[in-house]
Amino acid sequence: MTDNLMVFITILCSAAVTYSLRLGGLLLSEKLPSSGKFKIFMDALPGTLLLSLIAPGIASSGLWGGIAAICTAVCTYRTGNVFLAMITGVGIVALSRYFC
Amino acid sequence: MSISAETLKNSNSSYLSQGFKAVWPICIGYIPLGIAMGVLGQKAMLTPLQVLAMSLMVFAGSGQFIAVSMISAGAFIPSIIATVFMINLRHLLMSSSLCVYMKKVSPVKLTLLSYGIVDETFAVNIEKLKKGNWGPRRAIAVNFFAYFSWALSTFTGCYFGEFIPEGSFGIDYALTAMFICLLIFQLNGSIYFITAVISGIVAVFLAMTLEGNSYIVISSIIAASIGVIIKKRKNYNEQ
Repeated sequence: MTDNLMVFITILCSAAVTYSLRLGGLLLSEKLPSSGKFKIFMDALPGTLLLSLIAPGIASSGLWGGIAAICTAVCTYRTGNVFLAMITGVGIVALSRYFC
Repeated sequence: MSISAETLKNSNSSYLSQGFKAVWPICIGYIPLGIAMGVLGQKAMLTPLQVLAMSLMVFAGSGQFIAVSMISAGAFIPSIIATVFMINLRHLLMSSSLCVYMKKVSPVKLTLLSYGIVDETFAVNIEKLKKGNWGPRRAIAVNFFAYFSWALSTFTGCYFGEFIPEGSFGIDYALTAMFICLLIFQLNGSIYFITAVISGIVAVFLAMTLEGNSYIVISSIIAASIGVIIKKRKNYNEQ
């Protein structure tokens, strides 16, 4: 399978699952449980996914990667500004590469 | 022009202008994020057209960031799809929340509306819908302004990404930074903080022991399930 075909299939399937979820919620809203185990599981899932994605990378990125992660998290928490937080994290990594 | 046609035109432009007024800060915010996503796409060897196609067809910031990072890591297609499905599961709940305000709306409008439901547009629309004086047309306008802003930004980022050397300006860290930001917004309570920490610890452990990217899905499901158990026990103890 060529790389282009693989990327195309990935995009197509990602679009299909994403839209089925969005449309599904509108069409099946009355049948989805709004409380209980399902709700807790669904609410917890995005956070667990995000941290499981980045945790190994942060763990292997060394001291400055860890400091940048903490600063990004604190900046997001304090300001709620995604752009500012991203600039902070990326800036720390860039400066550490330049000076260290 | 007949009166009804003119009224309709004014009415449509009113929906568009009101939608734009509500969503323009998000469109501005999408520009740097979209450019970062486009640059990452270029570094993952995607073409500008592939990045544009992904933005137009998927339109899911975190889902796209994840898909691109997994493509560049050489992950298998089912693994990427499963991860995108799970990261976007929240859209199911978001659209079902919007549905409360979309009674008697035609299937065409529902389909159009569902096309652009992401965290940011959901936040704008649900707030406006709760206040009243907001309907499907304005909500669709909000979604599509954000949609085109995102698509254009990612395409631009990917197009100019080849002029940015590998690792320069720490741009490769943008993905991690973006995920940290999204994570902080997800942690609305101690239970979600605990489950995320468990997920991180399990992921680090599994990443060292398992091959490929399967650790992402496994650690997420384990941590979310532990979260359900903790919450149930907490509720039981409180009773």
